[in-house]
Amino acid sequence: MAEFICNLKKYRHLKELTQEQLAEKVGVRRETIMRLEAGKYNPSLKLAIDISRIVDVPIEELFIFE
Amino acid sequence: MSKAKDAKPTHTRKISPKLSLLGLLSLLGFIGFFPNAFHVPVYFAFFFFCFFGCFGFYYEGKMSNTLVDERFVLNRSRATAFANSIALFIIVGVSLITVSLFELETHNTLNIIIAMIAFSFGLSLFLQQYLLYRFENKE
Repeated sequence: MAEFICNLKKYRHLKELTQEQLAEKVGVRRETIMRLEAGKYNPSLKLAIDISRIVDVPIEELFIFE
Repeated sequence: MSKAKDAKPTHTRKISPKLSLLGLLSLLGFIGFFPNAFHVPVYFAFFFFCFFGCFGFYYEGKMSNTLVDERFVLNRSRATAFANSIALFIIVGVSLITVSLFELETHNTLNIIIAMIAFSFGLSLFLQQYLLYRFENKE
């Protein structure tokens, strides 16, 4: 099975956003962002696109399947 | 239809975990196994086993006013599917065992099956809330 790697934490810090702020912007809970950053949650395409727009990074750099 | 009716709920409902005490009513279901203890038939008492589902209010109350995001919806679907599978497995399993292994009278067999269906319904409702809570917090 492909390994899911999430680089969200790095880019979120670059944008100076907290988990809470990012969660509020994309309409999810902070826990969801937390699990996403830990690679324990596979987001929907809509959530992935919303996040990539907010942190201003292409999806393929944010989420990697190896 | 108005937009307000079309709008999906964004948060879970607010209820008190104390409502789970209603689950104790499920104990009344055992009265159905002692029809001779009363002067009237009390087979309807088996339906009190459905109240077992009220124990789920404890976990639902703990998750009151939670934002319903996509992970919550996913976990809710998983919990529902798992709970229903267990309930169905119990209903089919107990029915088959009761009918095939024990040579009971039809009347007693039906009593057991009705009680089991009522209990499984309650168990399914309880497990949906319990598993959702577990998926949300323990994984």
